[in-house]
Amino acid sequence: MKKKLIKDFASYVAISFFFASIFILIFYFTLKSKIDVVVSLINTTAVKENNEEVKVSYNFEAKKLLKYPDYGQKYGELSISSINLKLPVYFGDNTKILRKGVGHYAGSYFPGESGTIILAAHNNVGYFNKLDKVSIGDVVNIKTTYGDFSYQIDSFKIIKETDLSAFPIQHNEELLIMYTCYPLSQNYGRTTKRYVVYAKKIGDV
Amino acid sequence: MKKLKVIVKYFFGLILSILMAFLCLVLILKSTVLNKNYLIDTMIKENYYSKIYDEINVEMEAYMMSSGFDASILKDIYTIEEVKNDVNQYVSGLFEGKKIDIEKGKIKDNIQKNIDTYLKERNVKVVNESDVQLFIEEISDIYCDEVSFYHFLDFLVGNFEKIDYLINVSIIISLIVIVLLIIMLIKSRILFSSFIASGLIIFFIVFFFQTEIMMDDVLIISLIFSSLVKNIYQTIMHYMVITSSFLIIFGIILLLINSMCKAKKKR
Repeated sequence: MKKKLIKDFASYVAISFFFASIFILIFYFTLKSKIDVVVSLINTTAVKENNEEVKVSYNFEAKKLLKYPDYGQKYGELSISSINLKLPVYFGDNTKILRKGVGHYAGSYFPGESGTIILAAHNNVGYFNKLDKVSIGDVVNIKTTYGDFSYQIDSFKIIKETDLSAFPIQHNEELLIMYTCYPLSQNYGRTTKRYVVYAKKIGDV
Repeated sequence: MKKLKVIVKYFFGLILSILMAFLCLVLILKSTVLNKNYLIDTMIKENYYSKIYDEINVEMEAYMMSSGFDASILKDIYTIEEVKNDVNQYVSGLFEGKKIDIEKGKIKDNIQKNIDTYLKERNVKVVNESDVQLFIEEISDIYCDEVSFYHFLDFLVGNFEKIDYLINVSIIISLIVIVLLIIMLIKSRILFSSFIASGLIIFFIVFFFQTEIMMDDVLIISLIFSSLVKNIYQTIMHYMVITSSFLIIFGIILLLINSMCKAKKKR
């Protein structure tokens, strides 16, 4: 009797596993692709907050980074000796990043990628407050974990904050664009102008 | 004919297990993420209001960096009670289908007062008053954006009532069909297998989401909002595990009792 009871019980448990398996098959053949889209959308928002400087690898031949830093990660240091400036460079340019140093606009290229690099910082003391004191010919160095890059300043201008033509994103030559709020000296309130400095690459170390 | 009856019973058993799993999931959602009181209770438990209060201050200080002012202009411009009331008002608006515009007049006045004091103390005259007004407008927008989840949930306004209606209709229809199927299968042990199967289905869904979604690292809007979302997600997963365990154990117990009774009868 015991054997029959166990056999009986096991067969109906097997039926329940059979029902669950049918559901799983229906799920895989109908809904899975749609759910995969939702899951991948959610997973793209999964970022690990990492404030450490990241080691980034670079392909010198292809002039392309092999691994990009995460948003908010420090990847280098910017220095302009003519105005005694040295600041860390972070990937991204939100308000939290700009509190820490120079923000790299996420839609622009990285040093060494032969494209436009757009860097921003506040016009406060210790940030880009002396950016208007640079001269044509001054050298800007960007030291990264994958190499050192030098740029020579060749022009600057004052623009309206909405003038996006001042930030051409291109991939023909390596162009460094640094900008900050204008006027740089004591100004109260919300600035609607930007001071923009352009520099071209002069070589890698 | 007998074979057809058996196939029909198995088919009804399959439908019953899927419907029971669906009903449990919908009830869990209705009592959690679609329940205003649950959301407010979760925000209280998570200290959401005080975290947002601090976050607003951090964001405003970061925004203020190139304005020429210092942190003194942000002193006492809003209170934690005001943050709590505004957040709750916004959440209530979502559930009631009303788009709530967060009132920022008081904050703007307070910032203006602080700026006037700041400038008077330093004996400074502002060159461009419009720059200051634009700054006040935008910094007070930070408050409005933070308390309204950066308008991330605005799509629910007007749609929430439709979602709620659909869910109520689906609950009623599922209940009716489940009751009918139970009545049809009352003399068959496939009924108990359906209970176990619905528990297994819910367990599979939990397993799928826990393995596929990287919920620990999700970042939506801000860390604070993400923490709230993660908390709600984990609660839903927890309820689903409890429900699936209950259904499986309940089904096994009923099956055992029924099998033992049938074995005794045959003797």
